[in-house]
Amino acid sequence: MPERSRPGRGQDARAGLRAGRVATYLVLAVGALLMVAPFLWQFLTSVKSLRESTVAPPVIWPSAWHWENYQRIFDVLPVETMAVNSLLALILRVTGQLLIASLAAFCFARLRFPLQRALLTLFLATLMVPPQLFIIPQYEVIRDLNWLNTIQALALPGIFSSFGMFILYQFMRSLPVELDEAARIDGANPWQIYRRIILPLCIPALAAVTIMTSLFSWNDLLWPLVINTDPSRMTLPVGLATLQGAQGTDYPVLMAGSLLAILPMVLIFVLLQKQFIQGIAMSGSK
Amino acid sequence: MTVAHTPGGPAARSRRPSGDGRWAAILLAVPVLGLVVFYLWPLIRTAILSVSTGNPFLGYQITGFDNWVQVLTGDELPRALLNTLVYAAVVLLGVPLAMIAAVLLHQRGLRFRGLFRVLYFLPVVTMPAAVAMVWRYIYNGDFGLLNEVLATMGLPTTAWVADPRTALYAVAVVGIWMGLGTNLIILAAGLEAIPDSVTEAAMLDGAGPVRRFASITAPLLSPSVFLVSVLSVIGSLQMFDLLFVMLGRTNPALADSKTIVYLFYEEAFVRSDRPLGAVIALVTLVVTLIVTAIQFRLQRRWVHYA
Amino acid sequence: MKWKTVTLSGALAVGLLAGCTNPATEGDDGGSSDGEQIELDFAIFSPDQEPAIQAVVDAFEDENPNIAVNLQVIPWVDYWNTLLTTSAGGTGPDVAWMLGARLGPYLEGGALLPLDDTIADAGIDVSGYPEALVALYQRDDVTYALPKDFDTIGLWYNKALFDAAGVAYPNPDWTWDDVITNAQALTDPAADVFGIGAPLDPQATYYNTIYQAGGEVISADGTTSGYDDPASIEGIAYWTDMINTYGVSPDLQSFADTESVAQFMSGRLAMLYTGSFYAVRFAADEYASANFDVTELPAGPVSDVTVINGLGNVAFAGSEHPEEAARLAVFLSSPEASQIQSDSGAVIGSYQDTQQAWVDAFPQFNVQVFLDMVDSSVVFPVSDNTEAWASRESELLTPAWTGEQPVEEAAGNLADAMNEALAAEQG
Repeated sequence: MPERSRPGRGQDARAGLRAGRVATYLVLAVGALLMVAPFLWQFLTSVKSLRESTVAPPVIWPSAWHWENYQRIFDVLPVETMAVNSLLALILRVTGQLLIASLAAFCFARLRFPLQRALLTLFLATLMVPPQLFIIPQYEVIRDLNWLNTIQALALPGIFSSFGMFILYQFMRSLPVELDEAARIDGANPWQIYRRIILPLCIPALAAVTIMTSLFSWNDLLWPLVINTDPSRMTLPVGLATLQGAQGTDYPVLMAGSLLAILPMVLIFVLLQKQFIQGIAMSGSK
Repeated sequence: MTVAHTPGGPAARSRRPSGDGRWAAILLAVPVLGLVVFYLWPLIRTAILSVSTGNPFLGYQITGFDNWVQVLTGDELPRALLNTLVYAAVVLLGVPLAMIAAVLLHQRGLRFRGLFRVLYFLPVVTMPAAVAMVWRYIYNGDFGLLNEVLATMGLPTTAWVADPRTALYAVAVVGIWMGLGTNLIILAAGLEAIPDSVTEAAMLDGAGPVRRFASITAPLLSPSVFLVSVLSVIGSLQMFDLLFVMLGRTNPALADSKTIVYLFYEEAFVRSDRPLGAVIALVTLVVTLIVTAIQFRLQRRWVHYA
Repeated sequence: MKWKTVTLSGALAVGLLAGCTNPATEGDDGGSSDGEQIELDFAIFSPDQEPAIQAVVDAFEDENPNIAVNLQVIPWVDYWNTLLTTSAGGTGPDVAWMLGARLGPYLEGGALLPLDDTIADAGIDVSGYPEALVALYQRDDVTYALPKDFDTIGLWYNKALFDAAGVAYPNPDWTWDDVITNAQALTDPAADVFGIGAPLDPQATYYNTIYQAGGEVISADGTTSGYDDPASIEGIAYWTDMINTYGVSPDLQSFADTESVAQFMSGRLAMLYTGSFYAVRFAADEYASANFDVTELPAGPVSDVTVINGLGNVAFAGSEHPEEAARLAVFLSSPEASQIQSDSGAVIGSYQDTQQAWVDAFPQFNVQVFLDMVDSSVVFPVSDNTEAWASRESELLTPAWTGEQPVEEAAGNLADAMNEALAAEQG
């Protein structure tokens, strides 16, 4: 009896499994559609005429494809300059953050020194501070350094963000202690341990920090807006902000501009998705 | 040797009680300098400003706690606090959604897993200011896509981000949408860390999928869920960009949707009243600390560390 | 008296600050006036006006070959915060656009250069500017800016929608009642057309009608709010009734989603009170250019006045080259600059007899009315710290627009908040 009933139950289970699988795909597909729909709508709007973008009820498919909306972005904004500024700020911020964060993380994870816990807590506590709150005092620091309207000003407070340190600290703590001990026996000092042993092992974590910091830097709006008055130092998000003020309701051009601005990060993400996902997962590992 | 020790620092530490002080001082000099200049000094400056009065040209003099009294007894702060907490609570609903997605994506033999992950993650990599513009356009009461979809389904429509009854929730939906990818990835990493042997054992015991989830997966996943919740709440308490772009400054829904950071922006940037802005900044900080502390207290009740 | 000492110490403080932050540049200050190349930073907030302003700057540089002017367009969202923070810190621009409503903190801080001597040296006859606007930038008989342009409000209308409804176009003899009656005839819910737009917009809508009803936003001496004056309340109720009583305007939510001018340009509104500054945008749009026209504001119970406002150019006391900065600020508002701006069509130049070019730039619209209305205009109301109460107007008046509160109640709340802010100014 039991022998017989088994195959039957197995078939039921398989049928149930198949039904479950179909339901899974259905739920996931609907979810994915909801996640992507805004981008599709953004794209469709970006190639409509202004009039077509504001009719009720909305027109889903553009009656004519107005690719010139993309050209208009280049007419009204110095897109190339802005992209270069965004990129330079990104490179500086990422490089600085990698260096600062890895040094701090190394000290906290691999060395022992007085006030260690207190300092670590202090570093981590800054992660809870809403970044907008300190903008004006940070601005004053940059001003007193005479660095207004410079690329380093765009990158600066972000270089010292504790975010990278947090990720690298978690990662470094998980490396076996024997590494350091062997090196110390060989007469290496902490700098050499950091440089030759720990850092090379941290490549995945460093990649994660690179990607996340790039993302923060590329998308930052308020800080570059406040720190810069020089149009030749404007970044992409700031340019978008000026566009919104100047051409208040030209939705197609706004959508074209914002699509162009998010495209580089989306492309990099599609190419480096493994690293991106690892980056997020690492910031989430306890 | 030191098998019993956790890997990493502690073992080394126990052997060299004070050893690396000099090296730490050298290596930490620049990071600490940056911390002091860009985080601690602004905090001190904000604290001093919060008890000062003056004018940006003539400088500020310490005059006492009048600003604190003004903010704490005013009616704007409680309202903004409430709005912020409501927003945080709604965005927290994104955690179960992310959990469902993570569990579905975790199934063995699932096809298009990579594609799904990319699609769910897409909002995370995009510029908040840019996507907020798109959503504002979708929510438009006169020609928005959302109303069109709802109308064809026979559902009620409104001006989503201009109607005081819906604006905060409409913004929170965008908050969920933007955060779902991050939550999903963290939870997926948590799921992957659960050894297959555990779930297989349960399967052999005849536990169905629902029971397996409730008695095995959920408890083992709880640390990740906790982390995702904490991150989500901290992020919500800091919410500003979305509201700023989606509502604009003259919106009938603003009073019912303003968060604390938005209130700070209004005082410090629009009215240029830096002392009052400083008070709100510090209140925001304290609220973040309190809410996070409460979460850590509550975690003992439901988070199971393996 | 008290104010003057404050100014003096303020100027000293700013001077010191500027000195502190830029010790290296102290040295080359001395002989900079002649021969040596000088750079001045000049901040504006309108990308639309940039070409016209650049032309004015070019003209200035031609006259002053030793001065190079660096024109900076700061986005509006951050313009005022940036200007305040940078100028207070001594790193701000040398010259900048200013609004009367924003002048207070700068005067209190002694941050601006008096321009009277420079104006006299340039031989400019100040009586050629609209008097009320000149006064807007004066305190105690000291001039801190000359108006560079001005704008007044008119009744714009969409001829196509009037034709379709068979309604005669508005004329200068219209009264408030005519507006309401005709707006009712023009409103067609089936076609999603409204007779008029009633946005919550001080300059374009309710400031005008408050004065037309005989009310005031702020008392003449600048110490008390006029919002609780029954006449002011009548001026506000004119707009709220359009939405809540007559249903001839979209509601406030709709304007939050899509600004009134965009709704007007999309053919949804038959009429809109708005400024001369939109002529340029309407002319550039095919539909608006073909269908829009404008006439004088309809008369209220007491008068048919319009609010007049205009930007000024100020020079900062913290400038390393105060003399040249003052010259630039005055030149930017000079008759010559006024002519260049009018020619561009972007704005109405402020100086008399330079405005015809602006009118000529828009043959399709009867924009002459904007100039005609200057004679019956009230200047945009301000106090020493305008933003302290003006930033609360829209929030506190919102319940009146949405119908949640009677206008008396909302206006009363605003009056209370405003009186509190004004009392703080005095103290």
